[in-house]
Amino acid sequence: MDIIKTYLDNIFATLPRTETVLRARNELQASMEEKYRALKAEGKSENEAIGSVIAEFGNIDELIAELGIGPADQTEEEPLLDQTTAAQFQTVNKRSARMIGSGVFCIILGVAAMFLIRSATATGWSEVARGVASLMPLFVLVAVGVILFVIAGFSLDKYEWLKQGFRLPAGLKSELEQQQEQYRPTFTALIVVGVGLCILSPTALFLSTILTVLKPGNGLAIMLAMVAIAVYLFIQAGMTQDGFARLLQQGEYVRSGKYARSGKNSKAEKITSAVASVIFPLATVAYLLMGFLGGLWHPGWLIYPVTGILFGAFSSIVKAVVDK
Amino acid sequence: MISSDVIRGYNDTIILSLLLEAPSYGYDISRTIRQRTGEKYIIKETTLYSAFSRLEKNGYIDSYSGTESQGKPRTYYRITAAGRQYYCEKCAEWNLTQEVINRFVKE
Repeated sequence: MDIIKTYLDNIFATLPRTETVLRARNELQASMEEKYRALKAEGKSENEAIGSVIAEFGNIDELIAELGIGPADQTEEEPLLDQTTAAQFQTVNKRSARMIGSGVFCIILGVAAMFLIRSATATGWSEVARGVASLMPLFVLVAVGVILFVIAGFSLDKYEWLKQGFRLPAGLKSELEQQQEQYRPTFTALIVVGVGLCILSPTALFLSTILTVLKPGNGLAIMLAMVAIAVYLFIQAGMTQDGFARLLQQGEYVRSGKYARSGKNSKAEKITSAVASVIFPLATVAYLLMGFLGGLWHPGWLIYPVTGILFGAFSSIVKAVVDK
Repeated sequence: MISSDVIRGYNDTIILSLLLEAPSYGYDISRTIRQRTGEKYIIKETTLYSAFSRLEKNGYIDSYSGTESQGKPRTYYRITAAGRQYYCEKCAEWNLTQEVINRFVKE
C-alpha cells in the first residue's frame, strides 16, 4: 500500500497543492488501493497487484490538462526545497537553538549570580563595592547572551525564505515526517523535565525564606538556576519542533492553496512581539531601580511573574481581537 | 486491447451509461468496464478521474461521499437530468458516427 502512496507522492510532487489537486490525488489513491485490495483478494501476489495498479494508472498529463493546472507557473514563484538545504537548515536551527538557549541561560544565571554575590557580601562590604561586585558578572553574562542572540539571529536569517512558501518533494516530506515522529518522545521528555524543574524551583526559595536553611539570596539564585535550565530545555524542544513545522509547512507555516500563509495570524504576532520587546526590558529597569534605590530586591522580583502573567493575558486578548 | 486515443471521445458515454444503471464509484466503474468488454478495454485511473471531473464540472453528474464495507470513505457519483440528456445526445452522435464510418470499413 505504501508503494501506491509513494508512487502518487512522486507523481504529484511538482504540482501545486491546491484543493483540486489534493482531491484528485485522494480519489486516485482510494481507487488504486481498492483495486489493489481486490487483486490481492483474487489471489494475486504483492508484485502482480502493485504492477497492475501502476500499469493502469495512466498519464498524469491527461489529468493536468483536464484540471487546468500546470507545474510551470509555480516553478517560477516558489523555490524547491532540496535535501541538502533542509539538512543545512536543521543543523543551523539546532545550533541557533543551543545559542539562544545558552544566551537566555547566561542572562538568568547573571541574575542568579547577582543574588549569590549580594548574599555572600552582605557583611563587611560597602554598598558600592557590593553593587559593583554583583553587577559585573550580570553585565558580562547579559553581554554574552546578547552576542549569542545576535549570532543565532544572523545565521537563521538566511532561512527566512522558508516562511514564504516553497515546494517540498514528496520523498523529503516523508523523511522529515519520520524524523519528526522520532523526535516526539524527546520533545515530550524535554518539556516534562523543564516543567518539573519549574515546579520544583520554588522549593529552593521555600527552603531559604520559610525554613531558613539557605540564605534568601542563595535560595533565589538556586531557583533561578533551575528555571534557567528549564528554559534552556524549552528552547531546545521548541525550536527543534518549530524547525520541523517550518520545513513541513505545518501549524503557523501552513499554506492556503498555492499562496504563502495568510498574514492574519502574523499580525497578532507582530503586535505582541513589539509589546514584548518593550515591556520586559521596562520590567527589568523597574526591578533594578527598585533594587538599587529602594533595596527591594526581595519582593521586587515579583515584577517578573506579574509581568509574565499580564503579558500572557494581553497576547491572548490581542490574538482573539485581531483574529476575530 | 483498445487504444485510448481511439476511444477518447466515448469515455463519457460509457461512464454515463453505467451511472444510468445505478450510482457508483471509481473502482466499481473501472471493474465493470473491464468485465463487460472482456478485458478489451481497461480504463486508466487518470482517464476515469479526468472524466469524472469534467462531467461534474459540466453538471452531468454529481458526487457525494459514502462509505465502503470496511468503513473507509468513498466518493460516489450519480447522473443528473442534464447528464441523461447529454447521454442521449452522445448516443445519437455515436449512431451517426458508426453509420458513417461503416461505409468505409471492410469487414
